[in-house]
Amino acid sequence: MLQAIQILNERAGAQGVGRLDLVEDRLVGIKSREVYEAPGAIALITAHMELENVTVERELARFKRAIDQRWGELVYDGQWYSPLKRALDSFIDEAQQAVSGDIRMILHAGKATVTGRRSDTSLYDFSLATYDEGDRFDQSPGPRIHSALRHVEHAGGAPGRQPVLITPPNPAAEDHQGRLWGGRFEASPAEAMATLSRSTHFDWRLAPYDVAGSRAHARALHQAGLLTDDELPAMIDGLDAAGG
Amino acid sequence: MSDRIVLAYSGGLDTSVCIGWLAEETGREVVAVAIDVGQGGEDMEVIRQRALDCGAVEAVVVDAKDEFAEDFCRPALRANALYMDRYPLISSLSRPLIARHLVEAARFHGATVVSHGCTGKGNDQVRFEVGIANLAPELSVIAPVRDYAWTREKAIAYAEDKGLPIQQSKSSPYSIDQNAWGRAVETGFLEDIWNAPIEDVYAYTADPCHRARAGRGNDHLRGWEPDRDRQRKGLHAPGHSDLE
Repeated sequence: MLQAIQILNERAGAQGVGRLDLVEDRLVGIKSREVYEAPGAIALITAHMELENVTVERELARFKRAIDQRWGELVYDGQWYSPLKRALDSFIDEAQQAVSGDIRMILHAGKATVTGRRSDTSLYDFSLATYDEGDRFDQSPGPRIHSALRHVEHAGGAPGRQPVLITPPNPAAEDHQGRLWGGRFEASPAEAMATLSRSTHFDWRLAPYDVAGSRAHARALHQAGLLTDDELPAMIDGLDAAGG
Repeated sequence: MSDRIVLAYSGGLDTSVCIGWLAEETGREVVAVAIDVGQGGEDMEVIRQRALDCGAVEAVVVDAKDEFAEDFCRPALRANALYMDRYPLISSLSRPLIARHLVEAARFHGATVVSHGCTGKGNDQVRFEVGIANLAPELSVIAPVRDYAWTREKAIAYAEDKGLPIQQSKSSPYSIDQNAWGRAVETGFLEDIWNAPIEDVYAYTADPCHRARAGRGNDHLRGWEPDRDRQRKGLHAPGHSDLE
């Protein structure tokens, strides 16, 4: 570790990497202007962050950013030997399990710029990411709608009412071009119409919000006296049955 | 053996003056502990000898470069530690290591008091004292520069009066802390936050704009190396270890 730091201090330092000039919040309560040089540290942290981008699962990576920030504040504040710092260390140890690999950087004009990464524990999957031949990513709407609706489910609805998950469209019910209708006519619909109807995957995402809006509208109509005491529950039941 | 004080010793003016002053004021023997965290600059043996020449009953130097890199820089890297999204915790990382060694030395030498040369304005006094309190709450701390409001001039006058073996330029404008992870600089003209740092401030890095301004290739950087002389000159500048 010491050798890595020393080598990068020289190599990144020669390119002016790691100069910092900032007004800083001191822990004694004043702001002070600080000038730092940390060529090796900045180069290493830049590389490490990118290696995490490649190897750490999304939710863990998001959460770790908050932990990292807190860790830095604790250490800045002199809390190296504190219980919270120790606990955060344990989290970071766990989060680093898969972080291993190679990073290529260009050190130039005061910046350390990552230009390549490789790792045996990489979560990057070329065949899912590519826009070229060999794409294996499932772009049908089903799975993503499920995940988009998950938060709707958790949000629940009125107390005591079981939220209903709208059934996502069955791709098999659409024809091979994703059209929901048009089979009755001799000719296919115009291309523009076909393009328009391909928006149904998006409509499915909107549906629960649309239904929630209609439910609120029904209550408003009831308050205004336009729906009777009998009609309102019937309306709500109907909307519940429609889902959302 | 009389009761002893363990002093965090840098080899600079303030802590050199502390040795004699602590001995006079408290009647205790002073053990100087100098820690090598990769700050470069003076030979550690020279620093050890200076502590003895200034009146320390014992002087210990510890090569903690690898310990610093492994136990402090590595965790900081794993936490992508950047205080306020910028500062890679250079001095903040060395203070807990130094605190650990002070506590060890205090236990070894039977000291009940430890001492450091920080002022009352900076972060480092807190980092030392919180660290020491966490590790060894039974130890008490004395900080002459802070507790007795020393100034640079007073320290120089004391050193001259006692004939301490310190060559100090009264005009050196920089207050610097450096280690393997980076370097921090404070100086009067940077306290005006509109003033830009001048090249003279830097020792770990080459000017990243130089190349763009010169409009030429990399030739001027060939053979560039850190400014050892400037690192040495700055390191023990009189003044205050308030560096962050």
